[in-house]
Amino acid sequence: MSHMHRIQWFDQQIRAGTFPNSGQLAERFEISRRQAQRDIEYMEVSLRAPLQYVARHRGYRYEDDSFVLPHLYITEDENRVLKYLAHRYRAYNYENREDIRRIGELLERFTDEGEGELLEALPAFKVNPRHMQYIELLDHAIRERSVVRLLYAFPQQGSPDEVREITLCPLRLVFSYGEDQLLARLEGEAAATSYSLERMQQLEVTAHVFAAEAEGDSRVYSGLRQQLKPFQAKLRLSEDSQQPVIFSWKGYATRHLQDDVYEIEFFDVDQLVTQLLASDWTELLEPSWLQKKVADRCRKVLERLQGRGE
Amino acid sequence: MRLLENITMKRESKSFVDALHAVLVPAGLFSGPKYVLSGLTGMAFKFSVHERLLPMSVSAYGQWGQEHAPGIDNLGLFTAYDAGRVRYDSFSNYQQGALAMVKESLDRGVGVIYWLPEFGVIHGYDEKERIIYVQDGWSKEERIVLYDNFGVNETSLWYCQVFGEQVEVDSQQAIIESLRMGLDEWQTPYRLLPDKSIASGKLAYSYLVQGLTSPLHDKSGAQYIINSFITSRRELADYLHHAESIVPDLSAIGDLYEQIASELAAVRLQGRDQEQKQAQGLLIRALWKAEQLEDQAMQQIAQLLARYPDPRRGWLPRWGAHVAR
Repeated sequence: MSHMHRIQWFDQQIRAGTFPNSGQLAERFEISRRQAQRDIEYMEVSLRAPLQYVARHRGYRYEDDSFVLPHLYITEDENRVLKYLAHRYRAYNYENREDIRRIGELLERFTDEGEGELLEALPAFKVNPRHMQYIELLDHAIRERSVVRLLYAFPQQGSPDEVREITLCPLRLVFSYGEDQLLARLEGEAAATSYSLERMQQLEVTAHVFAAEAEGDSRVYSGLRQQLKPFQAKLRLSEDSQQPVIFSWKGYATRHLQDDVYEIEFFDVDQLVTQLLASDWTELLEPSWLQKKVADRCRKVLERLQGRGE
Repeated sequence: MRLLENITMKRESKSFVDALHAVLVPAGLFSGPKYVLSGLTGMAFKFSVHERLLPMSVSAYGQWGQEHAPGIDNLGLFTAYDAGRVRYDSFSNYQQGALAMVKESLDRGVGVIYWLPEFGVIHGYDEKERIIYVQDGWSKEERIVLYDNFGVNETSLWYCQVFGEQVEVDSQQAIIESLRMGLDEWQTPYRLLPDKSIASGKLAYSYLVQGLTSPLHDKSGAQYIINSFITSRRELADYLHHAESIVPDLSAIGDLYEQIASELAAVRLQGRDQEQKQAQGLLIRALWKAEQLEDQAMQQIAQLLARYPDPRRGWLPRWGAHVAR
């Protein structure tokens, strides 16, 4: 076991006002006193905890109570990967393998206090850019409680799928029967249904916000950014419609460059082109191939409108 | 930026053949219809089925490098390929090397075959934007792939193949060689040993029938496998009829393949009908029939090949049939 959980225990004890010391730490975790002392030094030196030894109580306290333990080792992305894996393993239902579901529970514990080294032992998963994009967008929509509009292929008995536009209030992402599904309810209805990500053809996050659920299952599930690097586009956003764009624009990860220019990261080209056609912006600065794609799409629509389509 | 405008890939046959045709024809390295290419490279004979009828069966006909090489050889073409798995740390180095190879080929005006999946064609690159342009044959719009994402895809494999100059190959020799490849394909049950979940050749029929009767099979995969199979048998029929002017006695074999294709086309799975037991029963009966017909065709091919000496397989090197490592 790592020393992080010892440090966390120590931190809790200080906050509870029990003035812990190295002896108690050693006793609690059955380690040597010298090891316990090293943990405390580590907290003080590397984690910059404002530890103060109070001789009267023979234990430590924080000089500055506002100190919090940093989230060590694990970046936000890594944490998301772990959460995703925990989710997958927990949902694993093949051959009723209890032991695999237990891995999920174990992994989940690590997402809060885990270590990066774990990642090396994990299996590689498939990377589907469109799925990742959907998961990112839906994740954003779930957090912001934004209504999403999408084209969904409904299976029909004995005939081809019927594609219809639906407006959904996304609640959460689940993984069952070997596929990613979105649990969502139709706008204005109470019952939630699951929708397969495979069957989604277009997805748009609207600015419209829906009311929170009563019981509120706020477990957040994130896509796996494993190996694919995202495309980047530079976009000038119109000033009048500017709600503060800080980390995301319509669910896409965004970085502010200067004035009203933003860099947007995306995985699925078609998805972004569709978003660009549906939303407000002033200028697409880069890349040139994306400008061409948008122009091509518009030209095709124009041709179709004028009856010159293929 | 370099974009080869004359390359258009269209999905009709196996993805590798479609990509190969799209690359070779504009470069002047092959002229003729796709079925001839499919036949000459032996690709049309390839038939592999995963036990659960996964759609990947169609392109899982062996270790690609080894499977494609004899076919390309049969066209008298120089080729180089690079492939592997993405998960290795060395991948980024191979990626850089492969990108250099791709750019060099595009600068010469020859497209590159690339695993998407399935096989597609790289027909351009842009050094400034650090992207390559890829066609998948389904959509008219090209796909964009960042240099950094070269080779990274839904599967764990990456593959790209370039082509060089050509020497002339005697057309009769080439046709005979393609038949030998076909016979070899028919007689080899597993091409991905030690994995036995995918069968080839004659055994693939049994896997297909068993798969269809199992409730676990992939329905869309089954449809894809059967449609692709019908296409390839039709290609073989056309190819053999085309080749009979050069190698006599091929006409009867071509007829057998024509019969296989029409047997199956009559009962192919359509839409959601596949749930109906009756349609499935008909299909399975047609598959047994097709297997018998193909067995006959292969016997005739074997008889025909006995009349032609085989300089390549006629002698055995000291270390056996395999290449010394």
